[in-house]
Amino acid sequence: MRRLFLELIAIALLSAGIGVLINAGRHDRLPMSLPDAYYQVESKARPIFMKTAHRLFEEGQTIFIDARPAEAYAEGQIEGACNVPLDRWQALYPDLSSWIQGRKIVVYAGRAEVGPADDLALALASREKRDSLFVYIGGIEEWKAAQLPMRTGPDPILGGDKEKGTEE
Amino acid sequence: MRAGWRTALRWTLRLALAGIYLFAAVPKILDPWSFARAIHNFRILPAAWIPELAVTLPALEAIAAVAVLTGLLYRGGALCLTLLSLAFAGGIGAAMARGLDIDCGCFGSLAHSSASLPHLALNIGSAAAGIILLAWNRRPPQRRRLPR
Repeated sequence: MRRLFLELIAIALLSAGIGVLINAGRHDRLPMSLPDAYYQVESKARPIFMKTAHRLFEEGQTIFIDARPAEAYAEGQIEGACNVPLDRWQALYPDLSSWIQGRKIVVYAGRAEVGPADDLALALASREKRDSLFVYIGGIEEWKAAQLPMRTGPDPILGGDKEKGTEE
Repeated sequence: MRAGWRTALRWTLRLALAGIYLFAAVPKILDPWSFARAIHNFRILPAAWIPELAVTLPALEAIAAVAVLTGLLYRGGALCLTLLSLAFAGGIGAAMARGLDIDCGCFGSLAHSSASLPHLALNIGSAAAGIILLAWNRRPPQRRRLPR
């Protein structure tokens, strides 16, 4: 009996060590503390953090989609991101679809509001391949705080706020 | 003949138990992010424990399965898989009792399946297989030699 438990402990310790080593060797290692926002993502899109978002940005092949309203987008967005507010996504999708085809997509909103990005990811997931969809949890506040590339002004590609501008 | 039948059954149970756990462990090792969310879905463990579990539990499954398959630390591996199966069955049972419609995460992101009766049955079956393997591997009590 004693030997049985010694074997059990040996396996548990070996597994813990190997598990930690494998995770440490990953380029997208799982941090040992995850924010609650990570678990709030209900769409099948993969939640990502700043490091991964920045890597995808640097690779240059990823489309960043800002899910906030046009006013918030115009005040500052991730450089090159397009604006697809959740309430207008169906109207913008025909223009968006040809542009995002076959590319990775990162959807973001504000740091404290994963909801809009997650809801948009859920909507996009019905049309796009699931493994190419990501939700950036840190959002624009984290990106800005890290002084990563940003720009201001309306969306030059999809013109998400053109109608708004006309109204004003 | 009886011993041969028993050996064949033992090997079948070893292969089945180790095969299931190896098949379950690999996708979880490859994608601990999804597995962390699957653990959280059960709403049983504190959030602070989840990343550690998501990293170590798949390794534990894989190593215990290899132990059962190779015979190295065989009894420890069989006990480990038995306890894991009982824990998973308890988790799935608790989720079903609370009416949670969740992805059980049994096979990581490889196969999305809800915490349901077939998965509960699979885990109970795995636990039973582990117990049989442990019982059959007990060393027989040594016979005392009668004085001549």
